[in-house]
Amino acid sequence: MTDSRQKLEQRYRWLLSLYPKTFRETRREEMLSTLLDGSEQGRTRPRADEAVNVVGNALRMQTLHSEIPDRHPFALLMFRAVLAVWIIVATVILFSVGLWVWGLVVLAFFPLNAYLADRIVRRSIRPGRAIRTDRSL
Amino acid sequence: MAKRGMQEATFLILTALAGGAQHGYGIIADVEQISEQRVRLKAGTLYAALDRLRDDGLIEVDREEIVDSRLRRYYRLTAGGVSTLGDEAARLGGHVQTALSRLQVNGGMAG
Repeated sequence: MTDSRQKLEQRYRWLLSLYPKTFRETRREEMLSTLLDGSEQGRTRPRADEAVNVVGNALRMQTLHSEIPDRHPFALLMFRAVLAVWIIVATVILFSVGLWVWGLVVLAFFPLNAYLADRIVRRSIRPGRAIRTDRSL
Repeated sequence: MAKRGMQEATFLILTALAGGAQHGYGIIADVEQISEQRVRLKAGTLYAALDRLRDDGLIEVDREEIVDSRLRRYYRLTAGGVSTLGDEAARLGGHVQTALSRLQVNGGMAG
């Protein structure tokens, strides 16, 4: 194997490490073969469009299908709900005593909390298609 | 499979496999040829699709080969894949027929 091939392989390997663990374990080697098959000789850097595509798909899989479902999804969701109420209460209190800036800082955590709650629902309570953990394929 | 009809990439991947078992890059090259160089699948897209198709039971692993110390995994259609692709092809074929016959009827007026 030539030097440039090794460099290219290493870089693709690094990009593929962004995939969730279970997917990586079963698919990394064959995906690597496919990516290398599609690269012209002498290339040392991944094609930009392939790289963007790999990163995009890897991150989407990370968000939509985490391989470890939460152990107590309903408790976690309750926690997020209570936190949401507290964020609103704290914001109202801070606004009412004139601490506008602090009120806005606290309020800024509302969307993050909502996102995390949505994630719990998507990966544990109404999961999409879970990634297969079957290693033999 | 969705009643709305499948995405073009999915249709082309299944069509590529209808010709026999193929590995990842083989599918990409075949899809490119079938689509007359219009569709060039990227690896991330291909493997997301293969993952979904396998979970839906439309394709399965045919065999594995090691070539130049690289793993090649070949996929083939399952019986379910064959019938799903057949249904979809018939559905699209019906649309094509309708479109062509209407164009023929109205061709004189438009021209």
